[in-house]
Amino acid sequence: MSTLVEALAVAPIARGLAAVLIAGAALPLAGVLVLRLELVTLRFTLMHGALLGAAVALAVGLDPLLPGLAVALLLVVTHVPIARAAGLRLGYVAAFLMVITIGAAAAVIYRAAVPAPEVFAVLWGDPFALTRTDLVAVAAFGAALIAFVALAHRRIAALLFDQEVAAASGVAVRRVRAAVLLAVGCAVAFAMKLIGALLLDAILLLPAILALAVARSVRGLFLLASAAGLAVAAAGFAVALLVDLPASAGVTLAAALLLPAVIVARRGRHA
Amino acid sequence: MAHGGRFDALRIDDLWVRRGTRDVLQGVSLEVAGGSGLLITGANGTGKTTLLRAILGFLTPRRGTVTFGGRPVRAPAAGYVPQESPAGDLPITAAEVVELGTVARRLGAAERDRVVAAAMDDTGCGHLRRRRYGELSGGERQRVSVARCLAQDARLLLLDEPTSALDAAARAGLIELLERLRERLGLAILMVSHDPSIVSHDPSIVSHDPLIVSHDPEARARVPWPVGELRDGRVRA
Repeated sequence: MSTLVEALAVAPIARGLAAVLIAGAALPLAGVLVLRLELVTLRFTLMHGALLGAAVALAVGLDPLLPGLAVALLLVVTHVPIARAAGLRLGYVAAFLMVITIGAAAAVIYRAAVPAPEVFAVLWGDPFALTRTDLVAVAAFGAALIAFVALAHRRIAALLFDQEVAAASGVAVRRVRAAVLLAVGCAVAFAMKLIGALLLDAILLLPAILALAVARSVRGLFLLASAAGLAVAAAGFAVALLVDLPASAGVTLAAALLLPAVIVARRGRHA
Repeated sequence: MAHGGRFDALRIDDLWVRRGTRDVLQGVSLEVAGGSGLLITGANGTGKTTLLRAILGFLTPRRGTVTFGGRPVRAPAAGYVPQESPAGDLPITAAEVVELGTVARRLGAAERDRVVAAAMDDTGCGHLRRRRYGELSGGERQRVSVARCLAQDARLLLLDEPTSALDAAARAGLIELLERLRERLGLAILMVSHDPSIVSHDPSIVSHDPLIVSHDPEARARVPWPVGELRDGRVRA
């Protein structure tokens, strides 16, 4: 315990903990949407888009962060109109964009002789390397995501239930879906750089899977996802400090242990 | 609120809807007066669901008009009970499903709770409030769906094969419920079904009082409304 307390006295570690806790509370909300609206492919498309943007930026001597985010967000905004124009499912378009962006990134890296590790560094954010400004940014997007889900949770629930029933009930389905995609896209693209791709997936998806397996109501689903995210973030961060692991590995480990434990316990209760 | 009132009528004039290269609906015309029901039968693939989706505005007709109360059908005037039971394994309670009907209504929390409770009590599913929707029986889900439409304050009910997964008792219960709501609330109800066994061929069971529709369980599981058949893109009496 004293090791933990001593470690938290170090500013970068304290900032890292704060960022991971905020991400733990907020990102699983987006994870629920990613899983229920089948946006997992889109999440990989964003990752590859960020790589492409970073590769182009490095090729012309720019900082890779903003171009990486810009390409990822461009994909979020454009994949729906592309799907509509082509008459294809969103998942197909996301898969198509996922492949061509990584292909284009590979071409740029090769032709411009960009050092690949520098490109891939875009994907491996480090919570211990966050500045105070970064932490403010994490807090802002976390708060925005929580506020969005809290304010629109009935409309989101209608969307998750059935889009035609939602439309017949008076929900502006296209608008809500676009807002959901934008929220998910921003959360994923933003968090990927700040906390890293592995930590993002661990916090985004695993608590959401747990909540989907256990919850009995939509309200419970979002609350449980957030609480589980917070729990695995805190536990994983502590484990990482205690046994000297990267924070992403610690949180992934905590989530990976919690998920089967909860599901086994639930099965035991129902047996 | 921009939707119809009690006893508004659904009117469809010369409705043509194309899916792919085929005109699925070829000049459908019909009217369902407020406070009355209409059953449209037809084999699978004849365009029954297409008709409902066109009424709801999910499909754009090539030609023709659909109005309710003299105006285009707009949410939330029309309550929709789809054929497929939605949600799948989404964790959502029956009360939350009914609450979806209130999404477009400007209600405070207390008023919303009251509307949801009243709709569920009206449809005989008040005791299911906290049950997970995915765990309900087919008949219970249909009652919850109808309650959702009531919470929506819909004046027109569109039901797509609502009895297809129900046994005779549940079917009779649902039909009695719809009859009671039609009578009491003046709803216009349009139901489509491929199941010929729900068609009433006995005019004596058509009654204004649903509770005395018939004491014969088989007859009670039939719809005591006028029937049209959707065939070759048109509705025929």
